[in-house]
Amino acid sequence: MEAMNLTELLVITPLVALFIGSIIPISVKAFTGREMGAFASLFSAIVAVVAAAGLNITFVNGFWKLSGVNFMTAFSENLIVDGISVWASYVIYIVTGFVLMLTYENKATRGHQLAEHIFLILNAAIGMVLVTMANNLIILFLVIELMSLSIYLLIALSREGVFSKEAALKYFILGSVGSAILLYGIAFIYGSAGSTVLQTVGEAAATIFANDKIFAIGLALVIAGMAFKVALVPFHSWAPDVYQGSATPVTTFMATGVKLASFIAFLRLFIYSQSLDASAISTLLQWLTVITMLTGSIAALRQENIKRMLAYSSIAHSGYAMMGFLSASMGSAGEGTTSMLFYLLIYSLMTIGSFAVVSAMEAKEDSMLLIDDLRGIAKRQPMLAFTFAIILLSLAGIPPTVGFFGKLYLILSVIDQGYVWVALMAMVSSAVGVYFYLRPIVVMYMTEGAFTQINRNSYLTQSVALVMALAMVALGIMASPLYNFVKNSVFPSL
Amino acid sequence: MSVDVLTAGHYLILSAILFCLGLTGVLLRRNIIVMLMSIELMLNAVNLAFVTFSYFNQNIDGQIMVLFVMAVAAAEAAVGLAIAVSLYKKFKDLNISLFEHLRG
Repeated sequence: MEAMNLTELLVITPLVALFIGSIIPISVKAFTGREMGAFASLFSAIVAVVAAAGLNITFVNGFWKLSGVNFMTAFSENLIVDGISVWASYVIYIVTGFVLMLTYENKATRGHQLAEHIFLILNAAIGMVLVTMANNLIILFLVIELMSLSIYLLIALSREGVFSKEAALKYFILGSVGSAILLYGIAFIYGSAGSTVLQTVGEAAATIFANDKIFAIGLALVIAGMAFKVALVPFHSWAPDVYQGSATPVTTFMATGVKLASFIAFLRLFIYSQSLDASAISTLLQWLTVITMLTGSIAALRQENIKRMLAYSSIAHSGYAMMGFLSASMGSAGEGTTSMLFYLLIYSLMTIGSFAVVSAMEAKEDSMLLIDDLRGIAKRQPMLAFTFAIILLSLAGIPPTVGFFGKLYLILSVIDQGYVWVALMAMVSSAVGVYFYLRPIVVMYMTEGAFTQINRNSYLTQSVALVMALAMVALGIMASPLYNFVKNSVFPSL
Repeated sequence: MSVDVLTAGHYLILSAILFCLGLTGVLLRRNIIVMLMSIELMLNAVNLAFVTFSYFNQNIDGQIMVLFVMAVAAAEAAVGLAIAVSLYKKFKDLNISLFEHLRG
């Protein structure tokens, strides 16, 4: 093992910045006995996130430009920094910044525990960035736990007493079982491949898979464990309960950051094993994709609670992102990966927008918004209603918005691989989706009522929602340049 | 019976039995503390599998992983018990049949 060199340390400076930012508010609280001002805490956390992004640009992208490389490994090949992880880490910084803003204004998270919230959010963000960089199965397990343990505590921290505690318990129990299953799979892969380094395992995968049943069991267990984390049907049953019960900013974080990071880790497990020509695995992934899309869309049809409806819609979106995963892991690493990461980016932006609207409408810490509560909002809060309508149209995938182009690229990538029936099922699922996404719009604009639910101090949250709605339209117009930009960032050419 | 008679298969079957016992415990028991213990049992079954592979493949990595997994299991127990304490303060009981507010 060679000595640690300076480059390796510089690569992780963004994470150090995030960590320093996370401990400032909580150390002030510990040493002075008083909480820092709420705005000062938020400001220091946002500065840390911006600094992390800046350090990433300087020391990773800058270094690549200077030395003419396009990926590097660090810490005895335990971390890999390549186009995928750099791109994902920028999306995670963006998500973290917006989640911090929602946390600052939401009734359930604001108050005497903002310092703890900031500490946990930034540490979960460190976990997410490391999940996208992990190049060793045991490191992957450790950082997934770093991310998950922070999220369990974040859910339980909410000021609302009944639903959030139940959500924390459910997520903790099912998340731990998911982690244990993942770890058992890692043990079997280690046992049959003799290594836990992803590249070594991936390159040997084809030969081992043909000769060793233990490897196949391990792979199946790892797929099941990751399916728990990204909420694929039939491992999705925790998601609606947990998304509904958690404070809205935490739900936003789970639906965007955790899902994105887990998908990247899932992809990294498969991207090295292109030689693995296993029709059994391909069939399994196709069915997971199709069942996830359809179950999510159909179950969302009969939901009255807005957060629960968005939770099922997020399950359906996991299914759509799985289409990119399917084509990425079964031959088309370029287009498949790009379409999946493109979709995860715009899905994250749409989800932040939709939950920001929900957060702005939560007048009390234990608000449970129903779709019927939206009656009359178009008269009382025309801006908020308009914002929500655009975001819902984008989630449904209606053409001028970027949601349409995200689905288009995914469907094209699976058709390229010859999975036409998956593409057809995605279209069926989208058609069902249009119905339940349009229902809130109909209630907002076509029914009379006295809309009363609004958080009076939510200017930041409402601006976040508005920015996302405008981004949906703007990115929709520039979809093709954005797609090429994602492609060039994910696969940087020398 | 000497140790040599035991093959990797024996240990792996034992670890599979322990893992399934843990999984059954999480799915069937109603008390949160018992569920936490079942999760620990699952992680320990995994540790047994790691040590087995490490011993029979003559590869030290597996034993290092066991140390990591034990540390993570301790952290997980800390978080789980903290959540259990806050639930007990709220509901004065730790039976999961109390927690059925979220459904639909």
